[in-house]
Amino acid sequence: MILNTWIVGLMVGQVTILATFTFCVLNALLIFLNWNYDSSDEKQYQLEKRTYLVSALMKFALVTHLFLFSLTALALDEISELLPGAMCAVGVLSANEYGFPYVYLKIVAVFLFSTWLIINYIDSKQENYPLVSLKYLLLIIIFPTIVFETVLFFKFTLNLDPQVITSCCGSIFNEKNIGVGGLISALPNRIALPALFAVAILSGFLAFSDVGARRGRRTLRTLEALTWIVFFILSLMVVISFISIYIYEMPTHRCPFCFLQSEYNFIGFPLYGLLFLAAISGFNRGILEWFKLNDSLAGVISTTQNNLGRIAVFSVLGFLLVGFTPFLVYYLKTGRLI
Amino acid sequence: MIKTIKATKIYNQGRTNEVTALFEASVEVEKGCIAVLKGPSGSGKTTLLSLVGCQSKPNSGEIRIDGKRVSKLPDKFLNAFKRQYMGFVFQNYQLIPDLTVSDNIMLPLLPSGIVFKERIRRADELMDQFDLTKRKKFKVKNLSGGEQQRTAIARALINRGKILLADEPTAHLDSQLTDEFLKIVGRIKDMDYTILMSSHDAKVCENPLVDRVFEMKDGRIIQ
Amino acid sequence: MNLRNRLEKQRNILDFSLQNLIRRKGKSLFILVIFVLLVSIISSILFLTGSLTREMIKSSEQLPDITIQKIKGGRQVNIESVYLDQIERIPGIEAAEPRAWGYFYLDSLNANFTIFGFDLSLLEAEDYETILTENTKQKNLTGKSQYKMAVGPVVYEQLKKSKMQETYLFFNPDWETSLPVDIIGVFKPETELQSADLMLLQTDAARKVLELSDDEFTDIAVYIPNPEEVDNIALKIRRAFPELRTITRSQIQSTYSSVFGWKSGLVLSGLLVVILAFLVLIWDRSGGLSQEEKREIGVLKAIGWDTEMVLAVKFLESLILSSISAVLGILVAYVYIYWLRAPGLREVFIGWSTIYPSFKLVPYIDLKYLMLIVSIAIVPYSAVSIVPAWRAAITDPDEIIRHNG
Repeated sequence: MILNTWIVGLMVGQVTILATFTFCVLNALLIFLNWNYDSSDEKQYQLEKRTYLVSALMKFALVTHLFLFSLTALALDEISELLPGAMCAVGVLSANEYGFPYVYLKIVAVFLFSTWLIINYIDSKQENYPLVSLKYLLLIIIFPTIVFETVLFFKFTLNLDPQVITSCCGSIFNEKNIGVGGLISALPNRIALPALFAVAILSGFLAFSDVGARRGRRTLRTLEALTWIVFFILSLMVVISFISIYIYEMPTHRCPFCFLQSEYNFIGFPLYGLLFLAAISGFNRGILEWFKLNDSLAGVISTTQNNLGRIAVFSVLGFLLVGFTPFLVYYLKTGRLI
Repeated sequence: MIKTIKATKIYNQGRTNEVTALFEASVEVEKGCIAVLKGPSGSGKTTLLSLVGCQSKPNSGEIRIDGKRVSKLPDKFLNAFKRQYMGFVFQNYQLIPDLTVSDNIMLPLLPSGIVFKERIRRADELMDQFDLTKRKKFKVKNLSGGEQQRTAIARALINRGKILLADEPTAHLDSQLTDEFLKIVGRIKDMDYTILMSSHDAKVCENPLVDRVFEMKDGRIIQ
Repeated sequence: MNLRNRLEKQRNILDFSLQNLIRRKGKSLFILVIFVLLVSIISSILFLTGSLTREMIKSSEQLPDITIQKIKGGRQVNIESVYLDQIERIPGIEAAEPRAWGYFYLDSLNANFTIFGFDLSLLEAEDYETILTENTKQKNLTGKSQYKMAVGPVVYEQLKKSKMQETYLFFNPDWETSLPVDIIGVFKPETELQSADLMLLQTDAARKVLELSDDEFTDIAVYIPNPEEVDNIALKIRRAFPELRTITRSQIQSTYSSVFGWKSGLVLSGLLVVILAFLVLIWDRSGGLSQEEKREIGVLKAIGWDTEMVLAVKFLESLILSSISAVLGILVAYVYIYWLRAPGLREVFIGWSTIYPSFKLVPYIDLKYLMLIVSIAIVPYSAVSIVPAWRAAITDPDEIIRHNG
């Protein structure tokens, strides 16, 4: 275990999120079990008031979660100075078996949070709380993710041992390495890049296509949501195997975290921000199809879907612009590829 | 315009101090009318006003305003509706003492996101109409009772709603100010408002402006 | 609502929150003061460790890739020159260099100095420019003594006091004669943290002062051009000579940062209780609504403000207050650490040496430090302020109508 300001800071944040969420879930449970829209007694009115608390807490939890995610990425770099062999965040995360699962779970949590908030938004646009039971059930289902994330966080930080020599991004994202990192790098850019564009075009195509039947449309939109997940994963691979080397201008440096630092003008923040925005909007656009339970909901959801689609398209363009600018600059400057 | 159907309100429901403040009250006020709820204190006038004014929800029965069933609306929609339709003059005016007259008057417009210029324009118009322009920059706590009431009325009208509700508006006024108030009510009626007031003042109830008087006792409408 | 109205609404929320804070000056000020105190404590620790770590890492970059020491009976002992040839033969090593260094206690000054042996002839004219202070260099180059040395600024000041700023006589009671050494320059203050107590002597003189026998050295510095090979070579050396200990530069660097990180973490954890107490205090103060505030919220609800908007106003009040406090707290910490040089705190971090305290800290502030401060101070405070904000926001407008107070 390393006792360090950064770790203390992350712990405070993580515990805050867990506490907020636990409090949310307790309220959600209360609402879920006692909700009776037709009732006019005092208890029902109190429950209605409680829905505002849950919304506020959840919004706060998402913002804090995103904030803490960024801080984690920056702090890991600082912590890497304590671990021999680790030169950046990747090295710290691979210092024990909990590091990367923790980060993956954090990404999953961002998606789940966003889905919940969008459903909450749609529900609040309706006069008769049509999605209340569903959304609070969903909240209760999401809860274990946060608990598990916190457990992983503590397992990860408490097991950081300055005595153990770890490896770093140079060796982890090396083609010869076996494992996820090696797999990512072994995927040559001439496959990964066209695949990325193909998926982007596919999801665009799916977004514009439509079928008459409700069931068919659900399948279609679900497929669309899945393509966005694939897009997200492929993008991360391309970030590691292609975009990062042009940001660092070094063939061996493939860290997906370092470019969040001030040394690289925080380019990672717009890059990941836009990627998340695109993937989340696209994913939820598809998922929302399942919540068109009545005509009134269908109306609101369709409008929301259109907006999300627009956000997704612009974010993807933004992501590509930010991501490929270093490559273009390098290429125009030197006339070479790395 | 205003219709309540067997509206019942119970306070502290399920507790030992449970009070049935209003029991199956059915009232109807036509568009453009002035109606008065008359009765001794504790007869349920204020509770009924509060239900009609979307300030609380009935425990049974229904409230319909302009055909819209408001009694089951979620807070957000209820308040949007309130802002669109209602103006409320409270018994003790309930102004914010540390704010100026014009700030107080503009308060109801803040949630609607009406732009600053328009807010100022409307407030100036009303202050002009109610002879408050000189007091514009005064903090409300430095105003006289009559001025405070006029500020409260201006605040109730700034959203340009359709209904004005007033709870015991003349309780703290002397006879001269009561006359003045009734004059103002007449003017508001001409602005196409439907008005519902509670009062036990004979001067108000018997005024020719009033179209309808509902007598209340022990939480029921008796006439 | 169109976009313009929505933006206007957000602006109104912000305006109203600010207005509320200003209207309740006493309460706001109380929270502000406590919060500023809180943030400045946290940021001070952070700034200090940040700068110290940075400084140490920077200075350790000049360290050899591997330092080799001889261990006997668990203690470090002098290393014999016989190892030198064998180590130099290991492939991958560019150079291995024996070093003579140690500490010398000066009774008269009641202070410990670091003695470091160095081939002073290597300090060519240009190197003087970069290392030594303008006004002190060269003037003693014509000194009469056999040996020469360069000293750190703090040492120089001390020597000046005892009027030995030109030539210092090293002496130990069991020596027959004292050893005069000319001072040829003083290090620039930028290097103060490392050079404060340093005396850089000609190697021969250092050996005499440190009483090293002819074929003995303190340790051996090894330089390796390829950083990837450092750990491997260190391993090879340990395998070939089990009695030797190898210390790589990255080990030293991580020790430095973990020492400071550990200290700051320890101080911070100790303070966590204080932080918590502060938060509870502020929360209690900001969460508890006075009768008047309650009435006001009731009025707002009654004239058509929805729950969400009141909640936003109340939450924003806390957020604005804590953000302003954070900014002020950071400024206070900056002044305290970098202008006042952290009285009271620096002893905790630099501790062991009494000669250090005049060190200078180079400001090192990054976005992540600010984020960390936000994470420790603002995040938990905002979280706990949601519930009171909500409690206020659900006030029934009905209440103010019925209670004609």
